[in-house]
Parts: sequence; structure tokens; C-alpha cells
Amino acid sequence: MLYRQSIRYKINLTVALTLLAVTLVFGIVLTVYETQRRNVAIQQIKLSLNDLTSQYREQLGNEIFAALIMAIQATMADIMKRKSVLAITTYDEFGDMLVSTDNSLQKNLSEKQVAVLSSAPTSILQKWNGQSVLTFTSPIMAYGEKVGFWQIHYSLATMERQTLEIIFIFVTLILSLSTLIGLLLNSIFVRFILNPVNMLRNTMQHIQGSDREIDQETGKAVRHQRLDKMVQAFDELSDDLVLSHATDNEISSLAYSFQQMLFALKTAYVGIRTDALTGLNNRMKLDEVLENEVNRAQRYQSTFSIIMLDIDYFKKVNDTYGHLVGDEVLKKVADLLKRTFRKTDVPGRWGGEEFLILLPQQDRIRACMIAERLRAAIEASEFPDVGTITSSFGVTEHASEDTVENLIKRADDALYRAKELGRNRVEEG
Amino acid sequence: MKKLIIVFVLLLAIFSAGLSTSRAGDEIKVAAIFAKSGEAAEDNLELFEAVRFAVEEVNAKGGLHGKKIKLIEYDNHSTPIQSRLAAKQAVKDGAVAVIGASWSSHSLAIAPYLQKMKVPMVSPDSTHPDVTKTGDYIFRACFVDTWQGKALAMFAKDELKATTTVIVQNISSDYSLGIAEMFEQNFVAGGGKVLAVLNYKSQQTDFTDLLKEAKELNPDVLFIPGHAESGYVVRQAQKIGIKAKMLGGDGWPYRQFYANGGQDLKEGYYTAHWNKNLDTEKTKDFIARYKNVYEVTDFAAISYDAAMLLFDAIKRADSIDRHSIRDALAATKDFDGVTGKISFNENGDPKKQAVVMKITDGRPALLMIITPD
Repeated sequence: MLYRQSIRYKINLTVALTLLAVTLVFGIVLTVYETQRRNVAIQQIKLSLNDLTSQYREQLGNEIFAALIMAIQATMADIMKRKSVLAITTYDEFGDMLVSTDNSLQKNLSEKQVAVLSSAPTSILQKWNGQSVLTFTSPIMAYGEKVGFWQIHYSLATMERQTLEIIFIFVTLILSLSTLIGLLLNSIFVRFILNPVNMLRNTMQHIQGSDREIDQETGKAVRHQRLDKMVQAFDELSDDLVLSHATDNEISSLAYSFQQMLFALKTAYVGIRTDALTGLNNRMKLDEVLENEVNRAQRYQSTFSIIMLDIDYFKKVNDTYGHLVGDEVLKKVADLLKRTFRKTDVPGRWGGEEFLILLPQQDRIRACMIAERLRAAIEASEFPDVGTITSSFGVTEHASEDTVENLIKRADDALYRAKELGRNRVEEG
Repeated sequence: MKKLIIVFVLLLAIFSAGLSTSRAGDEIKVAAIFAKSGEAAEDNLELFEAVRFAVEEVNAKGGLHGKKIKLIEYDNHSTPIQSRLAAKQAVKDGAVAVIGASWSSHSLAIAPYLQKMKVPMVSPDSTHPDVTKTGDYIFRACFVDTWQGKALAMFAKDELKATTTVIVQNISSDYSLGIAEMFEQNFVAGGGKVLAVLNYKSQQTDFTDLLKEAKELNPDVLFIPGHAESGYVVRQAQKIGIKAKMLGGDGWPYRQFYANGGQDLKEGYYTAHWNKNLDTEKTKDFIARYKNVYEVTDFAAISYDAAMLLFDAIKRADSIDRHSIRDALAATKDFDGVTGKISFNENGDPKKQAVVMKITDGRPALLMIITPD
């Protein structure tokens, strides 16, 4: 089921987890790459320092051997001109300090260090004076003789800067990638989740209607009209929502539930305004439509007509053939009405054997013609058991200042006249 | 197979060892350690020549104790470390004594080892005070820089009337540093002023920047205690217009010094151990013999004297072993050398006169002789 913050929560979680995974993968790749790069860089620094030792071993070796302090200083000053060389300290063959370019380094090598250095140079990564350095200590071998040692503090600032640059590039990459993935996820979100939700919302809005003018009006008729429109819109739009109950998608299942609910509401709404026997609009619906139509005619200076229909001698049919046959007659007449009228026309059962048809936009002449046609159709129809029946019609057109009551009265009077004048005829009033 | 090779090698070693001992019986092995390569090679060749001459003379007269002297020459490649290695090789080769080295830096590298191995050593011209202070097996034929530095300071002050000086020293040379220090001490003690001490290193050939600094100071004397590279210094100093008088020590008068620029020097002075123009019987006699074989240079006599000092000691020694030779050397009294009479003090240093030479338009001439008190 869908919880209140479920969608946002799930999307956020998905995005976050995806990014976390991407970051992790990239982080591991970067760590491996950077570690390797640093190892290679450090290896190269070691090699270059070994080369430097080889390059200077004879000159410096002799100077150390002869303890020519000033010459050692001059040689060291020369080497100090090289980039990244922070400090150089030279020692004699016993590890005793001879010269150092840095005051803090003026101490002798320990016996242990001397012992270790007799086999190979050592390189230690350490923090020195607040920066990363490679402390390279090497014996100085000249002409096969071990004459002393030297220690070079080599700055790793260049390497550190490169590391920062690489991390910067990585972060930029991750951010761009995150943005891209975010956009992608967003579009997926929009495509598969928001669109259905929007569709649903649009449908709901349509169904609800947004006719402001009608909203301004008050009264029962307006509300009914709006409800009518909602039902109509529901019928039109519910086809767009191709929804199935058999889905894991909670959005779709939500929409489906919503659709089912609307369908139930519609059925309830329509059912209350439908005559159970004939399936035509009932008196309640007709009252609403009439009131609404009167209002409309007054506002838009338009017109409409109504036809009042009464089956002749229906009581006799009931008495002779029974109520069931009477009901069949009513149903058949209702079918005829349904078939005869346009979609905009509103036929309904007024009560008993009386029917009322509302014809929007039609004047009395047209209405009489329609009534006449209907009268002929009923007369021509074969009714089971009963055979032929006839009906009488009262037609009237809406006049200005008419109320529903006036209108009905006139139609009723016309119908009465038709009965008086021998039935099976149309009278207008 | 491997064992067989080892046995074979061992046999070969024993055989060759036997061979060499049998030869050693009728030869006295003496080592000469000087440079045959590197920056000192040109200079040191003059010393090799004089030593060879001395050996040939002694052998021609029948040798010592009925044995010929076998001179083994070692190249120290002009570096302290390789001097030490040469000394090691000499000891290994069974030399009873060592003649050498020339440059103080080289002798200072050799002396401690020879002292440790108790092999007597006689250096012809290593003037640094510390050379003989190493121990009782170390001797030299020349004066010491404590004397030479003083002599130079006195000369600058009294003869050149100098009150100010700039010293240009080679910081990779013990000789240069030592003599500069002695000169400075004595010059200042005599009321003179050292305006600056400028440093350079071996292998340097362009001294222009250094000398521009010296020119600014405008000293009376430019003291240049170096070896052959001093030739570059004097030429370049003259070229940039330094008016000061050029003064050097016994490291100057090599052929290479003149080739490097000394031949263009208009006026300069230096101290030396000996000069062919000295008016002594010994000198005249030596030149007469020597000039037939080698070119007579300022270093010929001192080198010859060093060799002859050793041979004289071997002759006087009870037996031809290193210890007896040392004792005989230490007992040397009024040895009549070409460069003067030689007696060793307790350090193994002789007390000798210094010859002051004046260079005029690239030609050296005997100016005066300074005798120690």
C-alpha cells in the first residue's frame, strides 16, 4: 500500500543509494588509482634521489672523506637549488653529523640506522615542519668505499597538490554524474510516476468541473448541473485511465481504486435519478432539469419546450390485464421515447402513466411536430397482450417570466384539453 | 667441479706468493703515490719524474744493502679517497715505505692509514701542518704552512707594503684553507686587514664573479693560495682590471699554472721550496745531472730530496723493515739536500728556508730568500 511519504521517500532513498553506490565505486577506483600513482611517484622520487646520490657520490664522498666542511656546504647549497629538496644532512662513515642545512636536523645517526643503511638506502614518509616529506637516507659510496651518509628531506608538496587536483576532478565528476543520474531518475520519476498521477489529477479536475460562472450561482439546480457534468466527464475520461487492478504499481492501483470509487458514486448518483421500471429519468431528475433549463432560458434569452404525455385509458389496461402488463406497456413507451429523442432532449417519467420530455432550444411548433410524430409512433406500435394503445399530448414553450410551475400548469392544461377533445391528439398551451 | 676450481685457485695463490717473496729478497719495494689522472695529474708528473730520477741514481750506484730499489707508482686519481685506496694497495703490495703524496688533501687521506699500518711516509711538498701530526711514521721534505703562511704575510707587509688583502681560497683543498688561515693570522697580527675571504671549489675555471667582488674592495694584495687553477685566477683578475699585487704559495709554480694563465701575469709573487737559480753547489750539481733526463722544474729538487731522505734512512737502517726505516728517518740529522739541510723536529717536519719568486710578464725570477728564525 502507499504510505503518506512513500513515493518521495522511496525516490530519495533510491537516488541516495544509487549515488552512494556510484560514489563508493568511484571512491574505490580513485583510492586504488591514487595509491598506485603515489607509489609510482614515490618510486620515481626514490630513483631520482638514488641518481642524485650516484651523481654526487665522488665529489661529496671526497669532501666528506676529507672533512672539507666548507666544500660540503657549497656542494649542498648547489643541490638545495633543486626543486623540492628541503634539507640535506651529511654524516661521516660512523654516522656522525657533519653538515646540515637545517638546524633541527643536527644530530647523529643512530647505530641502528647506520647498520640498516649499510645494506641499502632507506626512505621514510613523514611529516616534517608541517609538510609531507620523503626522508631519504643513503650511504655514500665512492670508489667502492663507504665514506659517509646523507639524508635528504624531499618535499612531496607537488605530489600532494596533484592528489588534491585529482580529488577535485573526482568530486567534480561525481557531482556531474550525480546531477546526470538525478536528472535521469527525475525523468523516470516523471515518466512513470508523475505522469500517471497528473493524469489522475487532471481527470479528477475535469470530473469536478471548473465552471466558475456556475459556481457563482446558488441553488439546487446548479449543484445538480455540476454533478451531471461530472458524471458526463467521468464517462468521457475514465476510458483514458487504462487501469488494472492486477498491478504492483501503487500509483496505478491507487488510480484503479479511485476509478472504482467514482464508478460507484456515479452509479449511485445516476440511480437515484432514474426511474427503476423504465430506466428513464425520474421525477427528481426532471425537476432538476426543468429548474435548470428555466434558469438558463432566462439568462441566455433562449427557449425550450416541454411535452407532457399521458397514456390513454391506462387504468383500464391495468384493470383488464394486470399490473405486470401495465408495466410492460410503460417500458415499451419508454423505449420509444429513448429511441425518438436526441441526446440533448431529456425524456422522463413524470409519474404513473405520465411522461415529460424536455426539448432544449426547441420552439412550440417543433415541439408539436415531435409530439405528433411520437403520438403516431405509439399508435402504430404493437403492444403485447394489449394490442394498440394511444396517448395524449400537452405541449408548451417556455415564455419569459415563466416559472417551472407555470410551465407545467400550461402543459398540464393542454394535456387536459387533449383528453377532453377525444384523446390520441396533441394540444398546445 | 667447484671444489676443483677452489683447489686450483689456492694452488695458484700459493705459487704466485712464493714467486713474489723470492723476488722481494733482492728488491726494496718503495711506493710513490701521486696523481696520474684528475686535476693534479699535470702537476704531479713533475714529482713522479724526480722520484724516478732518484731511484735510478741510487740503483745505478748499486742500490741499498746490496738490493735494488723497486719503485711502484700509484695513481691517486687526484682524490682523497683514491689516495687512501692507493695507500692500501701499496701496503698490500709490500712497500716498505711511501713517497707522497703531493697535495695536502691527498697526504691527509693517506697518513692516518699508513700510520695505522706502521708504514713510513715521506711527502715531498704537502705543507699542511696536520699531515705530520698524524703520527710518528709521517715525515715531509718541505717546510710547513705555519712557516710559509707567516713568511708570505711578512713579505706582503714588509716588502709589498700591503695593508689590505683579499684572500681567494679553494674550499675543497686542505692546503689552500690551511695556508690561507696562517696567512690571515700573521697578516692581521702584523696590523694588516683582510677585506674578504672568497671561496671557490676544485674544477672551477671561471672566477669572474668572485673577482668582481674582489675588485670592488680594491685590496693592496690579492692572496691566491691554490694550485695550478690559480693561473686562471690571476689571468681573469688582470683582465677585469684588478690592480692588486698577486701573491701565491708553493702551489703555484707548476707548468700548468703558467699554461692556465700565469704566463700572462704582469706582476706576481710566490713562495717556493727551491729554484734552479739558487747559487749553491748542490743545486748546480743537481741541475747538471737532472737536465739530461727531465726538465728542471721548481718541484724537481724537493721531490728528489724526499726520495733521497728515504733512501738515506734505508741505508742507515739496521734492517729493511718498516719500523727500522722509520727510526732511521726520525734520526735524520743535517741531511744535505738540494733544497737545503734537513733535520726533522718531533713532528717529522724540517725547518727550512722559503724562496720568494717574482713573476714579471709571465717569467719567474728569484727575488729573495726568507729564512726562519
